Amino acid sequence: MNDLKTKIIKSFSNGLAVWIIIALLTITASLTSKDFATLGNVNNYLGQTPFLIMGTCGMFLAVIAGQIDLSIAALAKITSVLVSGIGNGDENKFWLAVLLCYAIGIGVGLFNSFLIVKLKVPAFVATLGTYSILEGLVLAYTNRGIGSIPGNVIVKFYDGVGPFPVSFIVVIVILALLGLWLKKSRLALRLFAVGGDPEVARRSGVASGPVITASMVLCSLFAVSAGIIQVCRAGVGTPTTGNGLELAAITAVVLGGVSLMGGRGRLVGAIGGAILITLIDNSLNMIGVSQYSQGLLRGAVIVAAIAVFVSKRQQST
Amino acid sequence: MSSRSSSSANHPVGAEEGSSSPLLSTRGVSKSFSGVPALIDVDFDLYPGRVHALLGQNGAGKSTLISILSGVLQADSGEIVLSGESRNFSTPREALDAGIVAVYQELSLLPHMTVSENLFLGIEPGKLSVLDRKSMSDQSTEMLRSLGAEGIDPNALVGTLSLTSQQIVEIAKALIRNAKVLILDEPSAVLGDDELELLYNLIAKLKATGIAIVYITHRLDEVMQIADEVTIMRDGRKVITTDRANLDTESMIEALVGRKIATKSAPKWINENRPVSGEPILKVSNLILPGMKGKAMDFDLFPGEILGLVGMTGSGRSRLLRTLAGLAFPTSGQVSIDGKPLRIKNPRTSIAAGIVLVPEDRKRMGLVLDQPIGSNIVLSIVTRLSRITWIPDSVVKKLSNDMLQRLSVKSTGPSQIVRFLSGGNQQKVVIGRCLTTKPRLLLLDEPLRGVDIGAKSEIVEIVSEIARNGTAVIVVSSEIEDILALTDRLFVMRDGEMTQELTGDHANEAEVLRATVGVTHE
Amino acid sequence: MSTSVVAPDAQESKRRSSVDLSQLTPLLGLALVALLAAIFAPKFFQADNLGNLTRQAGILAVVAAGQTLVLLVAGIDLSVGAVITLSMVLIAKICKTDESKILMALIVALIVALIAGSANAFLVVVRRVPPFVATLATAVLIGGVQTAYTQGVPSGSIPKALTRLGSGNLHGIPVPSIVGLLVIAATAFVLRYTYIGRWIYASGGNPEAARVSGVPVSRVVAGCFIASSLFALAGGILLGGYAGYVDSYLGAGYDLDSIAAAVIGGTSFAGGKGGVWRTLVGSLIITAALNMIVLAGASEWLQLFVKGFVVILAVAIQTARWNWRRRR
Repeated sequence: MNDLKTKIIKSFSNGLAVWIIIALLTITASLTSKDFATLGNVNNYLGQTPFLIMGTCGMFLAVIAGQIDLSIAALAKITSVLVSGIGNGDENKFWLAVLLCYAIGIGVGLFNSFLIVKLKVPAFVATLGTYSILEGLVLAYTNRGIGSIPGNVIVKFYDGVGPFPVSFIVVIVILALLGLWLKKSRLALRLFAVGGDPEVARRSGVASGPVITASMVLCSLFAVSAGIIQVCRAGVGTPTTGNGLELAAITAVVLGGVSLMGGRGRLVGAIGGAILITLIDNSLNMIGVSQYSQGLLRGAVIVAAIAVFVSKRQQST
Repeated sequence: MSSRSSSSANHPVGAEEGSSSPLLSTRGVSKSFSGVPALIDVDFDLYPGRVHALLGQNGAGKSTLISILSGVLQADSGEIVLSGESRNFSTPREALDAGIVAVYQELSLLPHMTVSENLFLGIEPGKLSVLDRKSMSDQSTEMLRSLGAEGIDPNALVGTLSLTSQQIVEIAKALIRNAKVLILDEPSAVLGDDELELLYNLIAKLKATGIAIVYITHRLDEVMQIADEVTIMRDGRKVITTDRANLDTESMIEALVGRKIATKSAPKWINENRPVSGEPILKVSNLILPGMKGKAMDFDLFPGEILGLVGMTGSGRSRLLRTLAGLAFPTSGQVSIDGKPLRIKNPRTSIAAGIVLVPEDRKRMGLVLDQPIGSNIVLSIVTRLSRITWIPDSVVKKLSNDMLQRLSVKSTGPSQIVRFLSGGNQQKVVIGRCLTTKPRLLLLDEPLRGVDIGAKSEIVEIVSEIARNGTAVIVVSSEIEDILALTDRLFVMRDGEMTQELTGDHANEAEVLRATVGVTHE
Repeated sequence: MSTSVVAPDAQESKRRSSVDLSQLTPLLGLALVALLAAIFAPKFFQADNLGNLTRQAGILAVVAAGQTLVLLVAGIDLSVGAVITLSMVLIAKICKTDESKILMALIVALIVALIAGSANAFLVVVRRVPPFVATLATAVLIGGVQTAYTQGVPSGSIPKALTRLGSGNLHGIPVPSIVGLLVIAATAFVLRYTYIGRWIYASGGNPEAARVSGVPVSRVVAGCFIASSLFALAGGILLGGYAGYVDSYLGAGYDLDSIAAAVIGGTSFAGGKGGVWRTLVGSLIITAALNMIVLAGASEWLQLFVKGFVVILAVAIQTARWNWRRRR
């Protein structure tokens, strides 16, 4: 009994169990709802996932470095209104706005890491403050839907190979690159080391400051990417895009067996977490749960996931 | 690794002492902390390809010396000479770059990363920022093979390895950074006998490559087995450096204790043969400590008695105190206090039953540092002061003032923040907090550690007075001199059981040292 | 080893000077806000506005007192806003047709707040979830409950009894200001003079030492989280009565506002340091600053912007000061 429990916990911490749940849930959903396995819904579902996947990648990098980023939702939001507002249907301006937003992302990442590394403000406070600042800037820009995304960009996003939308394919490519980077780069190795134990890293000659900075900047860049993907799907930028992204991403990371204490976890698990959360959303929709009850069920899933998976075991070992 | 082979070329393996020049030396190194000397005018030489055992009781200056060698601390005076060149390391990094690597008991490895990742952390091979994982893995395999540890998979997570393997990885990590001098800080404190055997084999291999090894230990049998040279330190000074062949166990104990101390009178209580009277306060029967294998313990403690526990780190002495205080739960056994059985549950119930602990690490476990003295002193009895109405400031103030006076704490009063007191005065505040609970049994874990000489004798006096008033006391200390000054009865602990009781003439420093290291007296 | 042998009185006088300074900073902040107001928003000082301001500050002070308790045990509560909204939505809907059901409504709201606080306590104390993750998650769940209950459209009205409480005056002084003052005074009393207060400071300052000293640390931390939810409910009742209506955003912003009020007052994120009187000053500063922004013609965006900066700045200053004190 206890043995089984240990095994289950172990399979979660290496990020595989979440994929089994995804498989089981997919089968159950296809059996109970005849609409679920249709091409239309699969296409729709695959179009929904990239947003959270991007946010989760960013959160994964921050958490692995022993930090957290509560400002990703606000950054995704500001990206979505700026890209839509500045682009306003013009393709050249659209790409210009995309570039601008990535520059803003770098700035936000640097700002967060300045607070964490130089001013020694705990990451959750620092990024909570940044979150508020960014929300303020969004509202300064607009308080309703603004501008539009050029039609052919949207078309490109919805087009696809079979059931795979282009956005999904782009995300798969990004994930492959990120996975490769995590495996092959010196910086990624140091990221895990600094998150695992900054003192040991220091004694081995790795200073934590630049590594944390890199992780926070990359996290912000992923948040910007999430914003871009979402606004291209929606066609118009609104100041509500991305509400709750930070918590969904934290939950995804936790479901994927990543330790919130830093230094431990696998990207494949975190991505599984993101896919599972989107899948739950999608299934709730398909089996006809009312829109108003979905928030409740989603909240319950998040609280349960956090209660179960942020275990003492995970934090102590 | 190139520099390592060149150094072995300069100093042929097996060179006789004297014919080869030292690789690393200290000349007249001294260091004091807040005016208290910790290291006095120490000359120390390390030769390539030789194992140099460093011996000394706690506080003898061993750790200060290796901290200076490895750049963690800087000497007040004197110099460090590395390969004939005068050097002073201002950071651990500089010492590391010069090839001096210290391996501490608490390993500096990341358990959730692989062996090869750990080995190369900070010096990863590869072009631009792309890791050359193949080269990492190959070099790791090669390094581990050269250490005779082919069994360790470079791609295994360090956390899944045994302690010995981790120790080997830690040594490999040092060698990959071109270590010329390897300092091993008491590996026998964490390794079992079989594991130590492996470590000795490894050390023999390292010697052959011309590395100089400093081996710190408390175990004399170990010294006899592996050391080429021995340095014994006492009270911050070097007592002797000599070839191992010139020493035997008895002469080492003599040097560790010092002649004049060895003949010093045994503790006063023991000589007075103080009669104990009345019913025992504490009765312990069949007690087996958590995580320990030893025989069950049985002992009684009478009013006014001060029991001392000696033994090496990990012998279970602190664990016995923590168990009685409600911080750990015994595997089996009964404890009763004043005839009433005690259910060991948490510190609150233990305190309510009359058992209170002065913990080992006062800053971490004993005090709320950023709170005033008064708040700390009354913390354990706030519910006794008032559960329903408020606790008037005047009551807290009076209690604290009385306690400050009784313990002669040097402070500006109950409102001073504890953080800004000296170590000795902080310790008195912890004792004060414990005394307010009016304990029947007072547990003291390393009560004199980090306390200056003046405060030490005061604390000894305070504890004696507490006992005179009828409280039973148990003291744990790794400083034999301290424990002799404090206690009536001595128990020696090894591997979770009480192996020996020392009384009368046998309660002297040399005898205690013998008993703790496990040398039987013939 | 690292203990210094500086004469005790020299240390003490140094310490005093830095403490005095730290206690002055919040008041300086208040003066600064007043100065800015005099320049940019002269209307700030009109009696009407000052009345409104103290009313709002009183409401915030109630919520922030709870937040301070949680911060003192090294926690944080990001669910106070959600508790405020849900409890008021419940009260409004229950009393929609019949205001005499107010007692039942209050009991239901009380139970809900207790459940929310207990959920936070369970996650933090039993499951050891970092407090900001735990309370963020319960906040989302509470939001979900509220949407499911109201089907997205909060309806009903705030009963008259509560409106009198939230918008009323007693001898010309806004009732919420009086309540805020009383709540702060009571909390300060508990913290200063009772064993519970001493347990709270010890549990936050050094949980391990507190445990060794016989303090039931888990229960103390759990109690603070539950108290925070209850204080949020109390603040919500005043806020609902003041606003006179409910919507889905009623409590939005109170998470950050209450944190800001506490940290401006000097309560530390690290736990064990701070107090509620300073939180009262912090509440005044935050309310005054936000009020001034509105008067100066800038809208919600600048409020959010300023709040973010203020929280970061306050914590950065605290951290710097403690590091500096510790290094000496």
